Amino acid sequence: MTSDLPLAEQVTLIELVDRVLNKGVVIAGDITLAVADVDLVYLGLRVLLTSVASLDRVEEQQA
Amino acid sequence: MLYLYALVDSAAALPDDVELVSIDGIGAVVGEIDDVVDPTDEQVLSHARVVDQVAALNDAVLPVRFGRGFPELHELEAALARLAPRLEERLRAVRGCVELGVHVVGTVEPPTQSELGADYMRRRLREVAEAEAIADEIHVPLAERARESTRSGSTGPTALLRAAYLVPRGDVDAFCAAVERARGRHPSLTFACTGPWPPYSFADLEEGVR
Repeated sequence: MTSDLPLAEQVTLIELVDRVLNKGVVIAGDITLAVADVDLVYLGLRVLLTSVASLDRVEEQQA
Repeated sequence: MLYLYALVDSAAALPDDVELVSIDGIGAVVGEIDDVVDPTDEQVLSHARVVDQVAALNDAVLPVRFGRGFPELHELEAALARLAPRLEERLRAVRGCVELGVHVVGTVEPPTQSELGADYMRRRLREVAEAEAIADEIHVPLAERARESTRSGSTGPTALLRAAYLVPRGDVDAFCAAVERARGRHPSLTFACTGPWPPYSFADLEEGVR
């Protein structure tokens, strides 16, 4: 996982993480089983956030 | 504690290392865990891997968002029973489909030295309107090929379009060909088509009309 990855792979990885963290069904009555804020995952993947796709993500977070 | 990966039909096939909790025709793919999970990239990828495996074995899968679960079995069963009709409707909607993501990115020219502020603003407004028109021109024909679609709000000239499409498995090639045609019509824009994904963007019950 480095910014040396081809653009297509970087975009795919960012898209994957975005889906797993922000999409998907949430069932009323459930609880969070992840201790810290999921923003940490983005920090972990920050090396990837150099691509064209990251502009998109940064914009979205600021919106 | 029961960690949730996905919701499926109660007769679903499962990969190793996960279990099925079934009630009222709905199955929950769960893993037993002792402690809360760390939101590391490894954990996120591991969640995605299980969802992928479940999706490879079954026609209808609703991926669950990362890091969710229930402390006790009876609480999960009660939640499934309560939501069964709506979950059944969502399972029907995604059955036989995959999700494809399309990003279209353009470029914006910064103001030139000689450009007056008002001129720059007028140019930006014109560019935003043009970007909207181009995004529509790309999105609408793709949405018509999809069973459902969802699109992020206005993203401006750098990110023209960010959308997800729910496409029947058999139509994926035709859909990708349509994306290629759009790419051909707009050679100055960068297209990124991702997937096929399990239908993460079409699983949530809270989303309204798409």
